Amino acid sequence: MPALSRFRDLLTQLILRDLKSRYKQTFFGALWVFGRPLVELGVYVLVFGAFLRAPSDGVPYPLFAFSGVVLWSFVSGAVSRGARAVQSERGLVAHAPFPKATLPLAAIAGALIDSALAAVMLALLMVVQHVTPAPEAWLLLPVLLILMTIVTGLSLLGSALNVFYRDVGHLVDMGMRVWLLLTPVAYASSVVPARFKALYDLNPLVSVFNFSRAALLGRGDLQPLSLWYPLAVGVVLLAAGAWVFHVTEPYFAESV
Amino acid sequence: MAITVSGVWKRYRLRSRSLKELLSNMLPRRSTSRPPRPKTMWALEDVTFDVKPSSTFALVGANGSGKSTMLKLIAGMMKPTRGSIRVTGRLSLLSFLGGSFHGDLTGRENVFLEGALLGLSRSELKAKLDAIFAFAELERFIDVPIKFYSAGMALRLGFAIASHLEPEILLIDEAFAVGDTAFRDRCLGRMLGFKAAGTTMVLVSHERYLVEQLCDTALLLDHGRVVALGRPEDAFAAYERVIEAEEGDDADEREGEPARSPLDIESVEVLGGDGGGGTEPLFRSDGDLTFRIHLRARRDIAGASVGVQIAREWHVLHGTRCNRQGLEITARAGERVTLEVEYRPLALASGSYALHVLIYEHRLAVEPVVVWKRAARFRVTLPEKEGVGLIRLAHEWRLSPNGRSR
Repeated sequence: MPALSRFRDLLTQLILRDLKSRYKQTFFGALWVFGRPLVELGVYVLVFGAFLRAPSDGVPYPLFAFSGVVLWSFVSGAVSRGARAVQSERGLVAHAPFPKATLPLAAIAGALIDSALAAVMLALLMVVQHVTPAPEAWLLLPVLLILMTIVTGLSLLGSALNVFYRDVGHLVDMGMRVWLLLTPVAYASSVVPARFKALYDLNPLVSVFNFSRAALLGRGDLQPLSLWYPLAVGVVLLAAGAWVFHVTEPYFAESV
Repeated sequence: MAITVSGVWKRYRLRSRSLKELLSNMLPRRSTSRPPRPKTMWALEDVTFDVKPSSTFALVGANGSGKSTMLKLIAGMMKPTRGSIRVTGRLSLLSFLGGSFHGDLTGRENVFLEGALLGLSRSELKAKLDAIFAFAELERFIDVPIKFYSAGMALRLGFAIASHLEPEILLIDEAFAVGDTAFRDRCLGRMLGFKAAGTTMVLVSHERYLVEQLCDTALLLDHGRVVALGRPEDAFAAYERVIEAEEGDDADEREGEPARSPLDIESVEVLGGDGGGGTEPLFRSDGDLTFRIHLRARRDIAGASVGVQIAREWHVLHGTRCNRQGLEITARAGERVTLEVEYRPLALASGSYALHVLIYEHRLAVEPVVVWKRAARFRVTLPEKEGVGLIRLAHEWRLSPNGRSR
């Protein structure tokens, strides 16, 4: 089907353009991909690990924090870049006929590639810390699929609504900050007092992050059933995002 | 039909949406004394036409007449508010050429995204890469970042990519006014190639010659409405009438610095017309015409110069200055001077014309100090029924005896 292959070609080219252009003309070039998560990790280790002594469920704190940072950098990169993907290409959107869904999808792919490179560093850190991956580590793949449904749904929703209401961009920025603090990235969810637990668990990322760490590092117990909730949230978000994007796409050209 | 447009209306919002508006629409409305500002406008009103397969169709009209909106609707980038559009065939839109170019990437790297946007596959682009750069005459710059290209070079590359498309329907939005004349001619040649290959084309253009040469049918839009649909010549004749009707509103206007001017222009007469009366006397193209210009010196002057220009729409067809025939104006302050300039024969083609009068401080001055635009108007008819062109050269047709030329 030509429409599908055209979509795939265009998506590939958009991803390649972003990859090639991002670090051109910078002194450190592609090293920036590794630099940013490293700096973040350093700050977490210092502030949460050394100052606050955040609990890390028996995992060496740098490893605990970095596994969270890698996952979070994907969620945050995909959603905040995705939400602006259509608006930031307003010239193209207003003047060229092409499937607009390629724009947020390319942004998600870009975030995925960045996080994959950070994951390579995570593997190095595990070697340094003499931690071998647990045999259940393959379960990270279905977890990644669940994360994909969540961020794709949010990106489609955000990028479509941001065309009509610029408030959405600000809302996403604020939301991502709040979401980061309410997700067990820098601390273990065991610190949450029991009376807040039910409320805290409404965040679908809580079980995703806990499960991923357990699967990768082999500490704590694996609770596959805890993934039903994030999966359900992801499917609902993806369906809602795809529907809103599809319905509003014909009005992008005159509204950007 | 390749394209069928039936009863299409398109309404645009004039204000962007905001959450504030959304909220206030949900709250009960309070009555205010202020009348609300218009929130929408009709960009197209009840437009109907169709384009036959393998034909070339032009959309003409002034800026803001709805041409580009129509093109975007055909391309499927927007939905009509009312009515329907049916397109049969693979379609490409040429507009905003090079819009996807990223300055930090090289020409080679940029070609692939731009091509993918236009609908070319990666393998097609790989095969055609050299041909694209050769067409754009940018072979030497293939691995140079686009930000070091001039605007013209980037547009050339954009058109070169587009010209390697093989669509069934090609929509073109004033895309060929690109680059130097040699490249432009190559673009036009490429368009003749598309036409010869049976590609259906719809183009938006202001260029009368191009449209008349290339297109089978033209649609004239004015403020979103169809004014004329037919042969390109007829559509452009209607276009001129629309512009004349609009220009009639702003009659004459004086520009420049009258305080610095050596002369005041008091009045201008047009002599020798066949009557017709009113503000636009009628002349025959093979007859005579004289402009009489009444001037008054503002100060003592020695060697001022006066010019006239004859204009049709916004094109000046002819201009002359009295000092070119050795005549300069010398006068004391307050003295009246009357100048005449005679055209024999007039030699203009039929149509409506305006006269501009210009004052120069001395014979070497390049810029006039005062310009009185449309100081007078007149109309011209031909002795024959019809003719083509902007001027009428004196001529006579005859058959030579024996059918042989002497």
